[in-house]
Amino acid sequence: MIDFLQTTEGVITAASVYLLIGLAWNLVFNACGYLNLAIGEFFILGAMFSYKFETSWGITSPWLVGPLTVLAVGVIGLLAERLLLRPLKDRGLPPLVVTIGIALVLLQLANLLSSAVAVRPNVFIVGGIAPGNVHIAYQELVVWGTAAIVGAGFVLFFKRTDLGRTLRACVDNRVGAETLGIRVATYATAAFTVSAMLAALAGFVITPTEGVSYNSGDFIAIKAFMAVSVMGVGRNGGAVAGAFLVAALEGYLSRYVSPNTADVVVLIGFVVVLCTYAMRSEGRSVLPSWMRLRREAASVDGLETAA
Amino acid sequence: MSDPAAAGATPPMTNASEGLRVDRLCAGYGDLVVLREISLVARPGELLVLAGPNGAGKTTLLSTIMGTVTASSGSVRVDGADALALSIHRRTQLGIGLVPEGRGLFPSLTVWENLRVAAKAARLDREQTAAGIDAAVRAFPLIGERLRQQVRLLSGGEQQMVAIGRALLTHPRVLLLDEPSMGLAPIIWRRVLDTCRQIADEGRVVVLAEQRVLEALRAADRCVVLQHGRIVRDGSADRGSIDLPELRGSYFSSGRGS
Repeated sequence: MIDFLQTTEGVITAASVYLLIGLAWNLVFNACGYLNLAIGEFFILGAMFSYKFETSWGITSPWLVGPLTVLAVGVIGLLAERLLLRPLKDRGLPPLVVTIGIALVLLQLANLLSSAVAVRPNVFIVGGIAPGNVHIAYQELVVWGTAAIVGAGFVLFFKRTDLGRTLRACVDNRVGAETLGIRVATYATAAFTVSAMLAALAGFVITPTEGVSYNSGDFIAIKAFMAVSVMGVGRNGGAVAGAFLVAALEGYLSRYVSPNTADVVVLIGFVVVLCTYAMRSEGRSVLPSWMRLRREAASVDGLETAA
Repeated sequence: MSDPAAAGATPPMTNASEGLRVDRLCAGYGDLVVLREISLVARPGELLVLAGPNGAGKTTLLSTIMGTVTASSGSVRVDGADALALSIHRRTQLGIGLVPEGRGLFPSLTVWENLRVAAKAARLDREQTAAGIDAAVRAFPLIGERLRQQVRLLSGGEQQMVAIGRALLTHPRVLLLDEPSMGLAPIIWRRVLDTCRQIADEGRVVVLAEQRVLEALRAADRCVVLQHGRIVRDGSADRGSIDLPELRGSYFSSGRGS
């Protein structure tokens, strides 16, 4: 029983990370209209920068390291979007391809920062609690809390703020938004930057618990992508359920079957999702396609029965 | 509606009696020239129908006046103030409002959110936003009943009212509508036309780009016919006098729709 609970505790931590990175996926997908394949590298840079700030530049307070890390990665995200993605997209290069290029460059940057097998910054708060002999590190509570706050913040931001509503408007109808004088491209830049910062935040909070190597970002990003695809890329509400689903699948399989099985299952799942995604041209919703189709049919009916 | 205290934004120095003046306007997309030296004037209180076959440049003309398409030469003035040098949100403040083809609404947002986003884009302050939404609700009471509903759940006619109501938020002195009859049942289309007539009678310029010309002409003061990016006729909205053979097709398309 304790073993199961301990596994569950790990699942919650993994789900928190997938949720944070998943929201980063969604943000770019919604506001910019493409998938940012460099998300994993932004995540790793979050870990790398926090490690470097501590070890090489002697900044030990996590309250300083955190904001500095997120800010530094944000600047890289901003420059990448503004100097590479936007101009190249305007020249007709598919942004997806550009993000792969950015990912490769950032991977080298991460390698330069540290090529160690496992980079592990100091924990935020040392120690933990053990209710009913299930060990929960304080750092993990920090991860859970970060995911909960960011997740709730996302919902409130998009529902209750003018900026959030405007972003949703850009997603809904780009031309309509431009007609109103909304600078859609500027919003896309902001969203890309914030998404890079989110991934970095995930890297900053999680690495002290498990440590990462410079090239481990993509696999985590893939799992986070799985998490958001389950309910349809771009839907933030579905990201929570998806994050828990992927984390549970992975966590319980690797504990009760074998870690390799878990990886294989997750990867096969990823390929299935990608194929479904590639075959649906509008590609918003992936698995429950019947939901999507019915909804569109309903709105068309609405148009036709105008009278 | 015509509450001057609620005027959307501080208007620049203008001559209110002039309305819309387009002078030798050229525009296009890249190398493709769509508008060739378009000149037209629409005075306050005038409802103008912009007719012409597909591809004549109607949408491009409205988009260039609004600013989503960049003009290559010529000028657009609203009450004497130059519009072409301004960004889109400055043009809304100058008094230009566009209901684009396909209505330009945000389907997954509620009616209220659609209005709110437009108000923010036009940089209205809190009072102006409240007054603008009030004005839209007064013009279309139905909007008031549907404020919390997602736009995609409304019927085509209701959506058109939201689109026009949203354009009225900023109290435009020049209201441009691109194919407003699209997807509307004839009875709803006539109601939309009546509304356009009322808006014009309040002393605004209303420009309708339309293929369903027949009904539109009943409400209109003037008809401008566009062909291959040029104005081939500009005169009263008298049906007999604009019976150009090229346009006959579009007259009879008036039964289109559901």
